[in-house]
Amino acid sequence: MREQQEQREIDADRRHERVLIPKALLAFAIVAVLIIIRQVFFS
Amino acid sequence: MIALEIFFLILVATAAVPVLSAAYSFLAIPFHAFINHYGKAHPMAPRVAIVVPAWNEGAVIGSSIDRLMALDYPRERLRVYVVDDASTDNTPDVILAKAAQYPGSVFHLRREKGGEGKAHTLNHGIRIILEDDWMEALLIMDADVKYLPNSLRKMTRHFADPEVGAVSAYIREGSADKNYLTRFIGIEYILSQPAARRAQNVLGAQACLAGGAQLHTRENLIAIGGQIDTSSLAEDTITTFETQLRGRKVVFEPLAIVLAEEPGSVDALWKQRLRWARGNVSVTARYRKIWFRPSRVHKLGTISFGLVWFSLWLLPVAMVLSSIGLLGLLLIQSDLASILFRTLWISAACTYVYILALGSQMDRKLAANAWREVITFPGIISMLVMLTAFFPKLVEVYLPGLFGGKLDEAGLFWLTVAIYIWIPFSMVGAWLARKVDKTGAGRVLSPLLIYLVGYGSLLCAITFDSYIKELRHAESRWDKTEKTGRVLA
Repeated sequence: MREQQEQREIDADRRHERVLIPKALLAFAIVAVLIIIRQVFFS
Repeated sequence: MIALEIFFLILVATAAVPVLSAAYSFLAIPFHAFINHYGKAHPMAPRVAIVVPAWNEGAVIGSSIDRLMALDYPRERLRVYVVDDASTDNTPDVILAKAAQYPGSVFHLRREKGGEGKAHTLNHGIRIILEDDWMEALLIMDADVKYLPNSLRKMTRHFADPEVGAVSAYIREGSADKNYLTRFIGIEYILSQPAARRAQNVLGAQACLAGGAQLHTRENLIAIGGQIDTSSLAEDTITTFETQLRGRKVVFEPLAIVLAEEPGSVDALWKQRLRWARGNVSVTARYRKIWFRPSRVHKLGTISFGLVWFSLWLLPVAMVLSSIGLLGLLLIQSDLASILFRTLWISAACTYVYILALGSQMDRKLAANAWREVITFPGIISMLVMLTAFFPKLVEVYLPGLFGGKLDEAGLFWLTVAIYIWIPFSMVGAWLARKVDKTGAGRVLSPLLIYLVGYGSLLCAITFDSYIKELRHAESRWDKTEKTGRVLA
């Protein structure tokens, strides 16, 4: 029973790592906004 | 003149290596969504012996033992061996009281001759633990750190894969009374652990097992000699390298969290990091035959790992060389000066923003509490330099305009010189922060200087100091970081 619970926790932790993709995309988006501001207002 | 121009260009280009290396490393992080070790992990509860080195830890050792005994782990499969390194405070009394409170689970091992360093203390305990077959896995930790209840369980599950030799956890800055410096350290730890070590999981080579949280299988411990290296100040890194050189994997478990107390003053941080930096110098020399030599056994010799390692180790050199190159190009009136400055600093700015934006999402609570330090991590003046590169008119035209002024040619020249040579001077600013930290004015001036020059420059200045100490063959000694039991339980 406990082993099944821990295996579910491992599976959940594995799925949790997928959240890294939107986090990286958000970080990319912030950089993109900076570049756009530069190109539009300061080039 | 062209030869001189090329020479300066090469000097400037040295700074591109750490920028590209950092970008490469952090771009690998999202791949941890697919390339991680959870697929080979299964519930496992090996018999774990925890070895805790303790020298005058009376203030913290009792609560540390209590928390270890409260871990979400089968009590009968857990033993705590506290190696009392000839403490002169009440450490032995506290440990003996805990041994009586938890019979058969907590053991007091006394060294009568102390002060030889952490590795000697650990080895005293490891020798005794290895005398019988009870221990299946060994957890090395510091006396002051606090494991979250599920952390050990989250580490042991990776041992279901027989290829894994050691597992490390996320050491999270956990001081209850945080100041500006512990908040900076907190951000640094987010970037270097749940962020960078996830990337190292993806790339297949770990640089260092955290000293306060490294779990080894018995087989791995015996394979690396059954003891911790005592010849250098970087025993954690040597253990990590030796494990991987024998073909065993080292896994970083980002969800196993361990709270640690970190230095609250620049001087204490300087001493701690100087010890680490000097240790890394010896590691670099000791493993000189593995760098940039790919192997089928391990990934320490890959180009990417070598670049990451040397980028951090030689970062101050790259910063100085790049400034010399930019200044040289300016003085010979080369058009390349401005182009290279913008290219380099725009790349650095984009990389910094990406790293901080991604890193601060790895531990949102800690990053939210340290939002000022997240924003000013590169230093306020370095941020202005980045803004100059990114938005040239902002600093050269709009800002002087706000004060009703306009930069003439001479003003622009000296502003450019100041910007080009700023980075080496930022290290001088960090050195000054340490000097004033010990004075009465340090309470105000030291944080002010660190916010201005940046926490990164402080770390670079310490690395630079390690070069000087190594060149002078200064005495290497174990300066234990003072702990006061400030970790938030």
